[in-house]
Amino acid sequence: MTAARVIDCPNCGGSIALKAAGYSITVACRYCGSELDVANPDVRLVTEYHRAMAASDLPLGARGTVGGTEWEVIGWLERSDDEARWSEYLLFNPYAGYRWLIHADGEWSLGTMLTSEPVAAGGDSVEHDGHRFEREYDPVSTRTDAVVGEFYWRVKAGDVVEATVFSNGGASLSWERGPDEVNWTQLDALPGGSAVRDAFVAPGEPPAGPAEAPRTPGQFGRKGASASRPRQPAPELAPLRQASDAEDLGKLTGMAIGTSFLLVILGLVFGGSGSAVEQRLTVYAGQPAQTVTLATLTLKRPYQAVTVTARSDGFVNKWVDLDYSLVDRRTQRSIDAYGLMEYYAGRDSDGPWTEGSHARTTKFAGVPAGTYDLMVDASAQNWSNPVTYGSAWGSTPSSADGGESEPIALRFRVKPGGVFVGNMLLFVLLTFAPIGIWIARKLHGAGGYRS
Amino acid sequence: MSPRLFLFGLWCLLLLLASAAANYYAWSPFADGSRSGSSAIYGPTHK
Amino acid sequence: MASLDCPACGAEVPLRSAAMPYAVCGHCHSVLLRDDAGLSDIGKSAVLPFDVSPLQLGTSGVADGVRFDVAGRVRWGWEDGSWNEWLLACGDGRVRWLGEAMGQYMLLSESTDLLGEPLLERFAQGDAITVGDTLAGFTATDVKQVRCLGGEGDLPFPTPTDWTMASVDFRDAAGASLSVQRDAKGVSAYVGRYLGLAEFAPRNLRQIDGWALPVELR
Repeated sequence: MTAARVIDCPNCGGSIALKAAGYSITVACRYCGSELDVANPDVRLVTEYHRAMAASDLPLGARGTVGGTEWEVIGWLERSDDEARWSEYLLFNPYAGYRWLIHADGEWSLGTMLTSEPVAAGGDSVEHDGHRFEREYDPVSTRTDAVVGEFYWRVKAGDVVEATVFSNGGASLSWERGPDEVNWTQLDALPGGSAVRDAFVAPGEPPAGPAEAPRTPGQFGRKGASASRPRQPAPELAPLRQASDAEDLGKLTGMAIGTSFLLVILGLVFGGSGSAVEQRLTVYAGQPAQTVTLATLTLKRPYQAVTVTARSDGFVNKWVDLDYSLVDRRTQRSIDAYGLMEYYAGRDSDGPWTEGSHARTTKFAGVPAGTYDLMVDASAQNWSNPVTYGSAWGSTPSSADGGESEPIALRFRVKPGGVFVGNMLLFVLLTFAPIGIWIARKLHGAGGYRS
Repeated sequence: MSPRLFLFGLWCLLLLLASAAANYYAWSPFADGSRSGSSAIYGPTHK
Repeated sequence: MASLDCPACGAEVPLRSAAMPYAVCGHCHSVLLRDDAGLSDIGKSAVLPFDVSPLQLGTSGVADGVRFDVAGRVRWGWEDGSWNEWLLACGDGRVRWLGEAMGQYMLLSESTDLLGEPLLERFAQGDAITVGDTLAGFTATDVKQVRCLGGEGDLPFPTPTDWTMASVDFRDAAGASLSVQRDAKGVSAYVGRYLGLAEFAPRNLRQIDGWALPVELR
């Protein structure tokens, strides 16, 4: 049986085929542009207006495949609110019902009416189908400016509804409230560019495909048809699956963790070491500096770190200035570094305390390859503790911590390589920084702006 | 694969390359090198 | 399938459902009452307007695990539109309805459970229900004055064209639906849910020129 019911326009007498007979309430006469009421058996003339269909991207009657199902364009609406204008196309398939194609800001989306009501979920959000959607803006007045074609409700130019959109970063829900009802529509993004226009082909129009192959020379007189390639069927559309914010966050965090892991491994691998050189030195607190040379440190890599570890047995309330000089034997250039080894102990109102360490690690960065000697200048000083147990502030220095010239035995160890933990932390922080910024912005600015 | 995911991927790649370069040149802002006796502050850091 | 001859025009009237007391003759649109004597003519049904529903008398399918055959149809209209309610004769002997509007399908069974709710008791006394009213987890989404536009096939009631009702549709968050009607005789309620056409594996759908059956329906 045929899908179309044929009616005569009461205004101009033209014959119009109703595609969605039995469902459609209004239809536009494609000859005179009059809007007709077809809800009742007698077709009534509702309004007259003229509008060129050339302004529309998709011609009425065009058919295209979306999501594996064939659809026909049977209606077109031009709508606007205070900020934007856009088009909505009504798609129909008698076996599959209705869908909408929304064309706004150059982007296309597919609209499907919901059959279950989203539930309010606190604040300005709703829950639907297991997902949470945030309201993007306060409802705004939306007006239907032009109506062409068939629709399943009595829509006319000038109709006003309140509308807003709820989104979860991936999918969106459109909400519209009219005088008697609330409509929810799920919106899925469609491929951009000319994909939608290419997918919908008007009856009698060839699909947009590769141009005909030119005639080869020497075929003069032959029919052109045999030289052209067969036309391809119109491309099929599929809604784009966009990840929701929550999904994206999970993936971003996963990527960040993976990257951090690699960054740490990089640091550890490059931090490998070579053979060490050791030396000892004894310094005396308060005496002039002493020098020791740790000879023949061979650096093989183009660039590397050099780690110097200085250790000593216990001393108290003294510090040791360590001046390092890494001298390239060939160029006699030196790279200098400084380390401080200090250890203090005492008593105060909270009890005994200690501070410092008997070891100090000093690292050189970016040392070029070569043969080096590390020269160490070490000098130790006593430290006067201004506060001792039971005495007033500013009392005389204690002499219970050892003599002026107490020897401090130092052991030095220098080796190529070294791991810069600071580097690794810095890079890991930078890796997570965009995620942190995104979360902070989301928590701060949810809702209240138009996306 | 959303634009967000792609851009973050590029950022991670950038950091990995920067880290590889830093490791190759053994560069670090946290090293103690180039702090020579003339410019350093000597002495105890205890309060 | 059993059949009897129409007392008004003599045409053969197929009887799809054993339990339905009424049948509409497909040729002369007379509403016929089935009794022990056969069929008696009790009036005329309106000619149903043409529509593009994929369902037809004789379509079969499965709903709630039970096989059904589409045995009859009633068409309801309101100021701004109309829809079909298809009568399903089910294998378990019960009757279900399939409401079809705007390409969406609602499977409904009559239920008296909710009639005791205060909102419906007031409705029975003549109070109105408005969009947004809630009842047992359902929200009213549609309130209309409707009129019977006619019927076809086997039906549990006659379909006079002066039969009017106040009809309210409710929906919940899970896709369940509730349909409540009040006419001169009282209030009745139907509970069910929304389905996609493919969910009840239909067979013998109407062939519509220019349209091929979508893949999921073959």
